This record gives sequence, structure tokens and C-alpha cells, in this order.
Amino acid sequence: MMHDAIRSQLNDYVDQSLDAAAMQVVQRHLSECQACRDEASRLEALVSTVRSLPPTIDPPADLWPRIDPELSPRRLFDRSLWASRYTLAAAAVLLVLASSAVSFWVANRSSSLSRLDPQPTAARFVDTELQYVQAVAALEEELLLVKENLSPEVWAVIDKNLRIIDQAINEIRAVLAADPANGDVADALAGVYRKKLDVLRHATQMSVQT
Amino acid sequence: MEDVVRRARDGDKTAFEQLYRDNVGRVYALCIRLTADRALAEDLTQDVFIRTWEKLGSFRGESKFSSWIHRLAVNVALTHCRGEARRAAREQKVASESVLTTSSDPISGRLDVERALRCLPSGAREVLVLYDIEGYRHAEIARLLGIAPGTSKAQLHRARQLLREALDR
Repeated sequence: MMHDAIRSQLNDYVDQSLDAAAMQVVQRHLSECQACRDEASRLEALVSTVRSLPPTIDPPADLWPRIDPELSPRRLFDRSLWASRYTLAAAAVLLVLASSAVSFWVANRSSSLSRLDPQPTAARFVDTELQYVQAVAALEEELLLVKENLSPEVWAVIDKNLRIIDQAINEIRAVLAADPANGDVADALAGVYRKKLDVLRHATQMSVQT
Repeated sequence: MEDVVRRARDGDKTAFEQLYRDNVGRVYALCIRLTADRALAEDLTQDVFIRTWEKLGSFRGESKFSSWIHRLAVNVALTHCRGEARRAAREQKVASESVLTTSSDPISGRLDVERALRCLPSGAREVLVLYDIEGYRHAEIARLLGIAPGTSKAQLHRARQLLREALDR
């Protein structure tokens, strides 16, 4: 029974995705059980082999002669992919997400001015905000790659969502600038950034599934 | 932003050819591993670079160009893979082509792994390629494939098991 339980966790063990306690249990068992240790070794060897496959493979033939003539003029969007009830419904869900981000901020705004931090929170939040901004930028670029799959109606809803969130970010940043020791305001700002990341992820997912 | 990327973005096809030469190996590797079909991988690679050319005007340099085109390639390949009819036809073709031989030679060994990869069921193969070779996490794979993170993990474990069985034959 113990062997089965351990072996069911060997993939997570090899991927180092077990929590510390579970990792210890597996390690302890492996130190005592040759059969399971062999099993772990075989799995590690396989994963290592797969992960060491070369990152590049040359195509059998040079594809540039096929690509070059296609580069201009630019192709028009395939409008047959556009507009479906599904994507419109999904976009409506995004609107709820964005609205709730702003509602969250408005609802918490009155109480957020009371908790003071002895060390200016805004200064500590700079690094955190930079990470959010970088994550947002990366997702925005990814969305730009695939947004043509969405109908203009759906994209309009998503764009509206993002503008609502950007407005909330700007408002909260202004409050944080005026009250840099307030941890609640920094928390609220982080929360709205997370909402923006959620919206961007949902929008990208809709784009690739359309 | 790199100069060659900026020039390609401005419409310089010579610069874009350089970007093609620099990135085609990575894009083709991704496409052949995700689709398990050489002709299809060539078509998708071609499509990735044409779409890259079309979208390059929107590239702002927030991420590295190589990361950007890789994302585009993943989206193009996975979008194609969602066609169930194409998928079924492809797997039938691949199965008929596949003859696994094992070897202790490192290069032949890698070829064995590549061949075994192509014989995996498409769902399991996609997750294994994205997780173990391309370095994506389960949450991101789940988002890309429209599945639950737990399903991604289960598919990875299944793929590894099937790969082992294929290589042990």
C-alpha cells in the first residue's frame, strides 16, 4: 500500500512540486526501499532525457522560399472566425470581473485610510508594481497576437473592461501617492492589477479557443 | 529592441529573413513535436512566420522577440491541433509510420525519444512537450489548452508512462 502511495507521487517528486512535508515522506521511503528508489531513478532518467532534447530542429527543407512571396501585401483577417454567442457571453463575464475590481476598491476606500504603516508602503510597493506591470505587458503582447480571432463586438467589451481597470489603477495610484504609508491602499492596487491579469488571461483564452 | 527586429518591423525583408534564420529551428521543433506530422509542421512554421510579419508592427519590445514568436507559434500550433478531424487523421498516419527502435547511442537515443513522442496520444503529447521541453507550468498549459490544471498534470504523468513503455519495448 505504501509503495503505491509513494509511486503515485513520484512524478511530483521528480518535478519538485511536492510540499516540504510530502517531500520528506517520499525521501524517507526512498532511502529505505530499493524498488521504489529504482522506479524514481528510471523516471528521473526519462525526464532528464526528454528535457535535454535539443531546443531546435531544422526543417527538412528551407522554408524561406515559401514564406518570402507571402509577406506582402498583408493578408486580411479571416472574418469567418469572428463573432459567436459563446465569445460574447464570455466577454460579459469579463465585464463582471472588471466591474467587481472597481466595486471592490470603492467599497473598501472609506476604511482603507485608517491603517498606517510606519514604513512608507508606496516605496516598498514599487518593486511589486514593477512585476505586475511587466506581467501585464507580457500578457498584452500575447493578446495582441491572437485578438484578431475575436469579433469587434467582443473586443469592444474587453477593451471597455481594461479601460475600467486602468481607470481604477490610476485612481488608486493617486491615493497611494497621497497616502504612501497606507498598506490597505497598496493591497487594493495589487488586487486591481490581479484583476487586470485575470481579464487579459481570459481574453487570450477566448481568442485561442474561438 | 534589437536593431534587426526594429528593421524588420519597419518592413525590411532582409532583416526579417535574418529573424527567420535565427528562429526557424525553434519554431519548427515546437510544431513538429506538437503535431507529430512533418508536412503539417512545415505548413504551421510557414504560417507562424507569415503571421509574425503581419503582426510585427504591434510588437513593442516589452518581451524578447524570440519569446514573442515562440508564444505565437504555440498559439498557432495549438489552435490547429484543436481540429478533431485533422487530429484523428494525423494520428492514424503517424501510427502507420512509427517503428520504434532503441539504441544506447546518445544521438540515436534522442531520435528514439523523438519518435516515441510522436506516437503519444495528442493530448498527452501536447502537455509533455509544453511542460518538459518548453518549460510551461501546469496553470499556463491549462489556460492554453482549455483544460483544468489537474488534467494537465494527469496528462503529463500519462505521457511519461507511455513514453517509458514505448522506449522499454
